[in-house]
Amino acid sequence: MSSEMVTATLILSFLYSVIRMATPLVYGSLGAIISYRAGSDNLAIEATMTISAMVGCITSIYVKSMGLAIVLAMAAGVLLSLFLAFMFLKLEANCTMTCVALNNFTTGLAMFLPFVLFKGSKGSTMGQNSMKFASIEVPILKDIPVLGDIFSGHSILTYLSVVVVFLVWFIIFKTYFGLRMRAAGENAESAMSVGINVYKTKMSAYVLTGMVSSLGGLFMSMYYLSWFTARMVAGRGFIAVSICNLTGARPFLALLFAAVFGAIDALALTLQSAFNFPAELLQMLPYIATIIGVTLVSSLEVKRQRKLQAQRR
Amino acid sequence: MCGPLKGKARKTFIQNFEMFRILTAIAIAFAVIAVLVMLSSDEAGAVTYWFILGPVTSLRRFGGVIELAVPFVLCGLSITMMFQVNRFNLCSDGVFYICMAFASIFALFLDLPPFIFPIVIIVLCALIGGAVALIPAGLEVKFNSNVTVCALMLNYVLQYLGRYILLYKVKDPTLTYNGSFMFPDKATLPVLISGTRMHAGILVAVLAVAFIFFLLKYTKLGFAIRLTGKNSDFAKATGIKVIPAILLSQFIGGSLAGIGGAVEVMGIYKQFRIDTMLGYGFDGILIAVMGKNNPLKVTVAAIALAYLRQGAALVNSYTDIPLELVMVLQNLVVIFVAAEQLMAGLKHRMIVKQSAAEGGVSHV
Repeated sequence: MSSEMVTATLILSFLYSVIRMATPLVYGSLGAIISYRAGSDNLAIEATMTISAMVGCITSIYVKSMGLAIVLAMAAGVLLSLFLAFMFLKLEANCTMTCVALNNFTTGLAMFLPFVLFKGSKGSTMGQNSMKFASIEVPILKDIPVLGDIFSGHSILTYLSVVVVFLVWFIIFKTYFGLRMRAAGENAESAMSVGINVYKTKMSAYVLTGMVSSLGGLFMSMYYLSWFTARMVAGRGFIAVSICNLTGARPFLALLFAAVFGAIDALALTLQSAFNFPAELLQMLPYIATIIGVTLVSSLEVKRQRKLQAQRR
Repeated sequence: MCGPLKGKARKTFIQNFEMFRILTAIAIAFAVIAVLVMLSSDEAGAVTYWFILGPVTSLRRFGGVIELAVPFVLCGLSITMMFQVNRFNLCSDGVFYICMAFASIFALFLDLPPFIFPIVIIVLCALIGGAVALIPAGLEVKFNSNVTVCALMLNYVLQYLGRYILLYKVKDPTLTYNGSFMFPDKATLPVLISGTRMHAGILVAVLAVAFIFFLLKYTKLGFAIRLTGKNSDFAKATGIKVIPAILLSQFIGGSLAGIGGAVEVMGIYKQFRIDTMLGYGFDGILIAVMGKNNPLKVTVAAIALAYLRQGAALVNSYTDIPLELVMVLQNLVVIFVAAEQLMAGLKHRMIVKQSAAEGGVSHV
């Protein structure tokens, strides 16, 4: 193979893995966006993804049914989301604190359950025969040279994510429920004054959050890897929240930003395999990018607010 | 539900409501754990025995409690300082880890006389820890970015940085596992009580508690920090410089976690070898929440958690239940303690009844 060929394959495999790495981020950020529109940063996306990854994988080991695995994983994600919402909406727990505790709680559970169930290593289902989503070769597309290499051969979840982005956008901006949700999120008192049941609306929003972000968890344990490990979500939930903040909670923009973060992830992977660069330093990249991104956006927001204030005077 | 309590008992309940609320939170968490254990273990009796009485069955085991309490106290104080000004700057875990890494660099590449050596390492790590904690805090003050997100992301960065230091800077290639060279003896903390691993870090922890207690209670800075946390607008109006107070409290919080890392690696491991994070920084959350911003209560909470952990470690080695169950337990406690409205309805009914009994409100 000539060196140009090598470079070309490297670039193609890089672009392929951008899409692959972006998928869980898309689902996570959509979940975060729904919660954000309903009024608060949801830092427990990490926990939602972890628990659905675990439940999906374990279900498929025991029952050997993809459908049931998906349903139970989503149910677990929804339950966790609802628990969080109940805690801070009804019992007035501090939201950030509850989210952080929920994340650690889930990590503990994810170490504990696989060990108890399979008596193997802690926090891993490795060696168990779990199921996996198939890679789909899209007809026609797969025969187109460059495009086929990049866009074909992903899991159904990846293709579905584009549909879900559209659905979430539609729900938030084009339905009555979305309108009520945004109203409740922006100003609970005035929403209440026009007869919106704020509590019920927010709880429903958290159900949606759980459903959407649990798909990201499923992707991790049933496609990205074919087993579950306790720390496999590895901060993607937080990156998803940052994507939500970066985009101002806009679903289509989130798709784009998920691709950006997917690219950073993929870059770390590609550089690591292609050049002999310390993997540890590359693995920092997505997290550093998140810090910079979050800071950049909020500083712009501060500037905008100042400008508005100056205009008012 | 509030039927049986009458008169004096009811009054006690209302007065000590906060304590009952926390006890209820703990009871709920333990109930969940009990169910989990019964579902997953055939030896629930042994689990209960080791969990509750295990740590006091020998001096070495009890020593383990105190050893563990040292990083817990320091991390609990660290989070306490972060929470003083209402900043959820949860980078303590990353700071703890990275300071273990830096302590190993200092211990292996510096050469100072005994006694002074560990002190210098601790001071350097305190400075590094404080500086690191200022990153998310500073970004928030300057750019209004979400301090929790930044801090949690920073944890991952620090984790990989620490791993990099371990693998590329201090690794002993003759070892079969990933570990640094052993520290020279003069760069370790001496054992205080033979037969255990209880080391001079205990003194450091005691000093830290005294320092924070004094700082918060008797100094101008402590007052500024506390007032900023209670009501920053009011603090500003009274002429307190709010931003320096915030940054200083975060700096102190970070340096406490840094000291924790240095003390732990010099006292217990005597080499840098753990390539995953210990999670003590997150344990600090529970300790700080239970300690309610009071350094003395933080110490009690830290020892209690260390006892639980030691019990869990014994359960881990003598039964079929893994150590991580305690992580589930303690985070449930955090969640339920954080739930301000837990039992609020009950309290409300009690107060109404009490005041009715005292002749205040008769129509209820």
